[in-house]
Order: sequence, then C-alpha cells, then structure tokens
Amino acid sequence: MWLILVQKVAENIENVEEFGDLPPPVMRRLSQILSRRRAVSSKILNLFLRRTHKELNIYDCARMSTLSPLLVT
Amino acid sequence: MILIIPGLETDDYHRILAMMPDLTKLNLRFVTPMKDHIFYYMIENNESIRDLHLDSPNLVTDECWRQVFTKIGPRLQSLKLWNLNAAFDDDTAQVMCENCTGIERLKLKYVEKIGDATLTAISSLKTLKYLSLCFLRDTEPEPLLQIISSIGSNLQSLSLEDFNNSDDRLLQSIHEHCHQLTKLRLTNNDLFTDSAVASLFRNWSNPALTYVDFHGLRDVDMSNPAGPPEPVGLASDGFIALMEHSGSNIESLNIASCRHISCGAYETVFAENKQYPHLKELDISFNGNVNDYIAQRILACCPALTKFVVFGCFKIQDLKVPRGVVVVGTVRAKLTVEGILQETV
Repeated sequence: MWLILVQKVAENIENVEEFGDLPPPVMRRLSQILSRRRAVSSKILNLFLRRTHKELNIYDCARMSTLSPLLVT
Repeated sequence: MILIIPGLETDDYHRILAMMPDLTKLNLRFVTPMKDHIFYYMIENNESIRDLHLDSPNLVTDECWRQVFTKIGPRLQSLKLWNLNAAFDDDTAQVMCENCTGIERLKLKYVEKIGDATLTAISSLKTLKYLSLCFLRDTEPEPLLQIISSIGSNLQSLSLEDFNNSDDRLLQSIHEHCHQLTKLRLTNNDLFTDSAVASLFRNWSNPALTYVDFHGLRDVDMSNPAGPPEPVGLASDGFIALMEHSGSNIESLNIASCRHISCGAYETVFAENKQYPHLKELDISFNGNVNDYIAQRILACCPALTKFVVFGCFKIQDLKVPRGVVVVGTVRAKLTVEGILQETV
C-alpha cells in the first residue's frame, strides 16, 4: 500500500512543501523514483535534508548546482 | 588563506553537508560538479561519515583524495567509487589502503588509472569482507592471487568483473582460501577451463552460495563457435558442480553467454527429482541449447522463480509459464500463463 502512496507523492513532487516524519526506507524509495526522473533539483533536495537522519541517498545529482569558491589570500 | 563560498545557500553539496552534520552514510550518484573544496568542507565538518558512495566525482584531484583518506580513512567502513578517469591513480589507492584500516566494504568500478599496484595494495586490507572490482586497465593474474591468498578467508562477497587475464589459478586459490563466501561474481573471461570451475565447487568447504554471476565465461573464437574439445569457461561439468554445491541455497544465478553448457547438463541439473527452492532470478541468455523442454524443466524445478531472462534462446518457442514468473527476452514465442493465452512479439 505504501508503495502506491510513495508513487503518488513522487508524481506530485512539485507541490510538496515538506515530507513530514518519513522513515529512511521511504525517503530512499522516493529518492530512487525522483532520481530516475532526473527530478532532484535544489528545491527538491531540500525535502531530503534532515538534521536527524544519518544517511542520504541521491541517485542522480545531475541537476544539483554548485559554485566555485573564491580564494582570498 | 580564507575559503569563501559565495552564496552558500545555492551550493547544494555544501548545503547537504552543512544541514546534516551527523551523516554516517553519504550516497550520491552523478556528482560530476563536486570539487575539492566540498571534500575539504566534509573533512572539517562531518565527523561521522563512515560510508562514502560516490559515482563519477571526476573533478576531484588526487591531492584531495589523498587528504580525504588521510583524514577520514581510519573511520571509513565502506567506500564505493564508480567512473573515475581524470584522477585517482595507483598512488592514491596506495594512500587509501594505508589509511582505511577498518574498511569492510570496497567497490572500485570503472576507475581508469589504477592497475596492478592497486591490487597489490588491496591485499593488505585485512578487515575487508566485501570486495568488488572492475578495472579498465589490463592487469596481471598474480596480484589477484595475492588478494585471495591474503584476505580471501574473510571475504563474504567477491566480485571480479572483466579480469580477462586471470586463469585457473584464481579459481584454485578461491577454492583454497575462501570459506565464507555468499556471493561470487566472475565475469567475461575465456581462460578459465571447465574442469577448473568444476574443481572449485567440488569438495569446497564454503557453504552454498546465494548469489552467483558467471556471465560471459566462454571461449571466444568466431571461427569455432562450439569451442575447443577441452571446454573453456563455465560449461557442462562446471555447471553441474556449481548447482550440486550451491543449489540448495542459491537465490540469483546469472550464466548468460556461457554457451558451452550442453543439453545433457541442463537435463541433469533440472531433472525430475531436483528442486532449487530459493532460486528467484535466473538469467540464461544466449545459451542456445535451451529448448522448450529444458525451459519447462527449469520452471518446474524452481518454484520461487520470479524473473527468467532468456534473450537469444531461440529454441524456446512455446512455454507454459506459472503465474508470478516474468519471462524476459523471448522472440516470437508463445507464452501461456495459467490458461491465459498471450502472444509475445
């Protein structure tokens, strides 16, 4: 049953503001589905960042952004 | 020197590391934009990372890798790296092996700049339990033998892909030194002989394996598709020995392209009185000898089967498939699922 719910959440990910109290296995499955769709952008990454969680799995980081640091000597 | 990261909130990798300071496992794939400064930040701020799994961090320099291993190596429990071709050479791997003193799980796949020296260094990792290697460079057979003889007795999982210079000595060494394996993958090799594969499994003190992947163990000679008289790769005798040894426990078996396995061997392994109660996934692609009768015997002997892959088995034309089994790769075959007639394309 929860697999269908996870699928529904993944389909409507753009409208999700917060995951709430999801356990790590569900977060992992969501990450798999969203990564397969190449949907993990900066905004969606926010949903996965939990101070209390001890693991993070993102299977496609291609849409995440990065900036080079400036070196000041 | 001060490191200023402009607009920290927009740098996603820093954000991950900053917002989850207690991370123990970091598993990120397709991370090409990751650069040195992110790793330096991780060294400084994330003191509990034990499992590091990264796919294609190609902009990270060797200097940075060495620092990472020197600083966090001793606490790493598992390290998995895929698709590195710009950096990560033998010297870096040496630093890794010197510092990762407690590592249990190591996977290095498609890492271009490492070779024999890395293999020799890996043989010093006494705590390893799970080892998975797939190099792009050609390697000599001896360093692998050294790995098996020095750490083989601890290994629970061994995956060696595309080591096509390895010969029967590797199989013999596995037979002698590995006694705790549950997963064994040896693929794409045309130097192993059938008799050596059979002797690996006969009288082996290792318990029955649950996961076996031997795809592509066959002779490669376009002008002689039947292979030499003395069979090469996983052929009839080796297959019978494998299933006698591990049949009771095996859950996943991949023997794709092992095309020297004869009809007789299949009939022996999947005879009327044989049962493989745990086998869930079976891949026998490009084993041209498998016909309707053998395929039907396979389905009868494997009650737990869920996935049956048969690409290139053109003799399978008409198959009665039990409900719950997915048959993948048939061409123009008629598949009947418990009374429902289905035409496959």
